[in-house]
Amino acid sequence: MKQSMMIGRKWLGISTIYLCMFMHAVVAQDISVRTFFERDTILIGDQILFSIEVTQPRTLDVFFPVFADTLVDKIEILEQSSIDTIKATNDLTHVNQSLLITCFDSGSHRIPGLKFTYITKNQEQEIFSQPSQLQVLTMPLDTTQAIFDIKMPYQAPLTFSELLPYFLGGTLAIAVILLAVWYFRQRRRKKVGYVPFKPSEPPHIIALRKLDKLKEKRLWQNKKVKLYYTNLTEILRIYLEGRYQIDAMEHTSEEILWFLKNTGFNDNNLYLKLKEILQLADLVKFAKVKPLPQENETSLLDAYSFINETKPVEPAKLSEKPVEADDNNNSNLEKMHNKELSDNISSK
Amino acid sequence: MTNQVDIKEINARIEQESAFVEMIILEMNKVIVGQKHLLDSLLIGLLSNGHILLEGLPGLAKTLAIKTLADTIEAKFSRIQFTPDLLPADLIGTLIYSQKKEEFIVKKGPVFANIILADEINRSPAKVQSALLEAMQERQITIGSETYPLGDPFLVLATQNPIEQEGTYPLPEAQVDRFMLKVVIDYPNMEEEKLIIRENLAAVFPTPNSILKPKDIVKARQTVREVYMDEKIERYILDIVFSTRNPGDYKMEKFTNLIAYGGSPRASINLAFASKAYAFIKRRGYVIPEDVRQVCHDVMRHRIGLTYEAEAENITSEEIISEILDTIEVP
Repeated sequence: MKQSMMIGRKWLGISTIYLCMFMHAVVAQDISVRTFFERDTILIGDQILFSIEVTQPRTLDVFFPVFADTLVDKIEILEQSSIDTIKATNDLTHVNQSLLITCFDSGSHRIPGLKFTYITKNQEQEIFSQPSQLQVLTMPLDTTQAIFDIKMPYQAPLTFSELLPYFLGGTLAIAVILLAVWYFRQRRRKKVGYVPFKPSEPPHIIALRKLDKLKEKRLWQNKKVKLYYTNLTEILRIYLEGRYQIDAMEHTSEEILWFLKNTGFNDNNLYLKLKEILQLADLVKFAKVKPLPQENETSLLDAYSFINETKPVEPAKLSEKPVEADDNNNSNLEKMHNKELSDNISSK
Repeated sequence: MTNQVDIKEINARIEQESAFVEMIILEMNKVIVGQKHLLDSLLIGLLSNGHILLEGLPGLAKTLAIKTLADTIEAKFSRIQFTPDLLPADLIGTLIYSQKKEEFIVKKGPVFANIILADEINRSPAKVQSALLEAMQERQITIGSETYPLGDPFLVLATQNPIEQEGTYPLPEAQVDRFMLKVVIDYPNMEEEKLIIRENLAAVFPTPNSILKPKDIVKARQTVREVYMDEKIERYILDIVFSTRNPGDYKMEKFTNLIAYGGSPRASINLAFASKAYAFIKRRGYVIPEDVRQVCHDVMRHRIGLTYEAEAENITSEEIISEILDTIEVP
């Protein structure tokens, strides 16, 4: 009898432990709360569901515990489902929630009873779920096998969808560049079409034309001697700027002559002519000097002479001029040519 | 060539009256080796009744040149060394009580001379500088209740040392403007310095002869005023001065942010006077653009105020003046 009583107590204890481990259900009045893991043992890093089930009267509001990012220390919550209500009977309702959890710490983890609250008869009541246990195992080590190197990450093959944005961007950039080139070419063509190319005139042509105009104006003859010399020196100074790249307009007569010498100008006769014109012009412009008519004429002629004799000589004319102008040159050239021929023959 | 009568007459007179210039230069060259620009500037100041601010390092014969000039014209010369403890009374004079006469008598200061050398003017505080600059402007001194005219010619040559600026009192811009010329003295060249060494080693220090009297200078000044200046030259002077005020109007926009203030009307007046004096020194009865360009740097360099941007970019008034002269059309 005593032995049978002991066996009965033993079974009762085992069944109680069994119920505690796998049922975790708590009932208060008409409310029951149950929490359970999908599995009670997982490998480190495995993800499993932790489910919460509450059965309650339809008219009662039960408040679930609020979770942050962990269920308990070291058990992380990855996802939380919304609280789902399912009608069970006319009077009762099932309310479910599941949490996707994982753990990266091996060992046994205990989840204490979760607190649920509800209000009945104007009083806040609490109900706790049963505590539960989760065993987290590490990977078993097979020490019989050889140790291998860490494998590098595999290179994933490029897909068309990955390349597509680059392809489209490149195409668009090339199109924009081509369009810009085309636009600027068109614009240049239009400009060329409207403005015909006009070669710039050499400074001596401009200067000689201006001297002609000055002569036509007959300024000194009309007692405008100062204006006459102002214009005359201006023509010469602009010519010197174009011909010798001297900033003649911004420098005095003495400085102009000094700059001209520095350019390597070595025609003393022309230098003196220019010096005389500039010095006389300075006297007229700044010292109220009135030159003789002959001096006015000479100044203009000297200006013509200076420009004509300092203008750049065209290379074509150099070769043509002596041949056409002088018959003696022809005979001289023939003589030279004949001499060269005879020299060649004699040397052979 | 037929000249108009007035120019011909002026030219002839200047030819005759400016003969002393060459003699003065000759006498000064006995004592001073080189420094041609300094000698020309001293004569310009003397002939156009303008005061001169000399800037140069010590030992460049500034004092000797001025003393020699005073000797050549038999002028009374005073040298005043400006120090931080100098008082206006030390300069202009004061009233002192005579126990013998039992009254206050006037003790005139060193400023009562024809040629004054104000050595290192920036070493004295503003009250002493003002006393001298007022005398320069008014050409008279009031001591007690009496006003005394200063000598004629009255030429002040103030020196400034460009180094050792610690403990100095720089002249305000308004007072610097009262100097007709600011002459920057540079080192002599190698040949000149060789001569200086030889003269000093031989201990041969020639003394200049006096060529003329102060009244001759006063007379020459009248002739300088008569030097003919054409309207074109006047226009050129105005273009130069106005371009320092409104550089943008003269295609020099780059200077707009570099010049804080340009030349005053006093700059135009002094540029015209100095050009006439330079023409006189060159024994001409008329001014040519060359004369304006020769004196332009000395007349304008202390009259152009530079901005912080210019100072940050190390741009000097010298460079601005050179650029202006190279940009403005010469008549």
